[in-house]
Amino acid sequence: MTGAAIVSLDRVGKVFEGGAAALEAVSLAIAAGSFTSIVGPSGCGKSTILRLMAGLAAPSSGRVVRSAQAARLGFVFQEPTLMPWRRVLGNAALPLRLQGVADADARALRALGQVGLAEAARLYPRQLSGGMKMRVSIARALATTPSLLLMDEPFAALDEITRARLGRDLRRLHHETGLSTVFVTHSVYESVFLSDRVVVMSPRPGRIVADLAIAGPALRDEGFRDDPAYHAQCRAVSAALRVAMGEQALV
Amino acid sequence: MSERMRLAVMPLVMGVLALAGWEALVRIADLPPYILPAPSRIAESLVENWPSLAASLGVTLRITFAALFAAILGGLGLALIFAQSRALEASLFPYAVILQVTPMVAIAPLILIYVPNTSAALLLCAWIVAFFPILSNTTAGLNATDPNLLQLMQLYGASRWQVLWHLRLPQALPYFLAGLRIAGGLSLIGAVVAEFAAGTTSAGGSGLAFRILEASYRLDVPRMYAALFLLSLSGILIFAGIGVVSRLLLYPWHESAKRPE
Repeated sequence: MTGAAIVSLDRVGKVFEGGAAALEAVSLAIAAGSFTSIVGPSGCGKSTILRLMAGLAAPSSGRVVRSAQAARLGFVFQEPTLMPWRRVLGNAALPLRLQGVADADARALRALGQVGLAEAARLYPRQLSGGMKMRVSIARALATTPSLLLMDEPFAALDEITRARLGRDLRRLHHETGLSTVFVTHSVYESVFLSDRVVVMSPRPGRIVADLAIAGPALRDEGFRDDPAYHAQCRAVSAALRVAMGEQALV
Repeated sequence: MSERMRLAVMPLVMGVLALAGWEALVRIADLPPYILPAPSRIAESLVENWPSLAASLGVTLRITFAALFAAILGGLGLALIFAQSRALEASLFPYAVILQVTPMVAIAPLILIYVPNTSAALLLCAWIVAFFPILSNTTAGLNATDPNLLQLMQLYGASRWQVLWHLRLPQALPYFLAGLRIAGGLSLIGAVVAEFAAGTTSAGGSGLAFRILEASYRLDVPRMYAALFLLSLSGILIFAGIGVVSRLLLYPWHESAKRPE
């Protein structure tokens, strides 16, 4: 299931204009076909790692190595970031239209089917719930059939129930497509449920303080949330996070 | 009667009551028409003088619509140029403001001297008054891009032209339409003010403002009111017409365009 690195960071540091250090000596290789979550407190540079991987920002020190496949990437923001004047189909087809792809609508419709929204293709974003908007945003990222999917706290603004359902669907999608995914979140439970691997980061300047492999079935449903193994791994990630926060005494 | 209906009917009732009160006041106090004509007397004057008033209305509306069209082209064109370069916007925008804040009545006599063709001079005056709201609103709309959407476009390798076409122009549309609503009324005001400045002596001055001046010299107050009525009616119809166009363009997606119930 996993293979060579699709994108990797080699002792990467990032200092923002004004001198604030966001990242310090971060080394992280993302195996092709894996689902990796990055967990950490607010402002620890999780989003910066995604932006470096996407090529939206350049490192201040160290190297970001992106394989040829990594060029075909999809990005999902924390907000759905849809264009209100385009219908659902038009939003999902946007990246393809920008690239001048001929069968953009057909491919976008297929991507909407993958997230269970084919029926809503003709609607406008204002007619959708928060969860549906996020599904459109994911469909837009999938429409280009990317090799690497980068997700920046995509479910943070959603309610618990929608969040759980979207998480389950995302894991199923990953199982079906084998799409390399990097998922940034501040939820320990979400990270364990979704991932093959959880990377825990310290507060700013962000460093990697733990890198845990997550054991679980490839296709996960609500039953996995009741699995003792799931709870044990959540506790392990939580403990690592507390260490990262400098609260060793509490463990 | 529903709340919506009541709200729609109330201004009509108010208007009818005011007209009735006006009519009663003139009849009871027996005011002569050269002081205050009754609404019925104004309506008579409107019918009597219809040929000349209608011709003048045509002249004024032609200038108004030509000015509005030029304001759309000029406002939109300048806003697009500003959107390409912040430096250009910074260096030119203050002068657009100066043009806007200097009262038209004060500039019109100069323009009438410099531009020999009266129609062209009137058009220029009306344009100066009307283009600014379109320029300033559209500029604001083109610059109000969602940073996340901009980043998304960048991520998928959108060209400058694609960002303008797919993101900045649609985003600016509600702003542009709000500016257009103001510009519609202003182009009528600009046309009338310029006609007043041109006065009754000039060859091109046969619009409604000219009729008002002409009637005032003859103390034909009912006819002044009749011309005034036509001007107000034109302004209302222009405003309402642009409102309908706005709703048609924005209805499917924008919050400002409510579904008709």
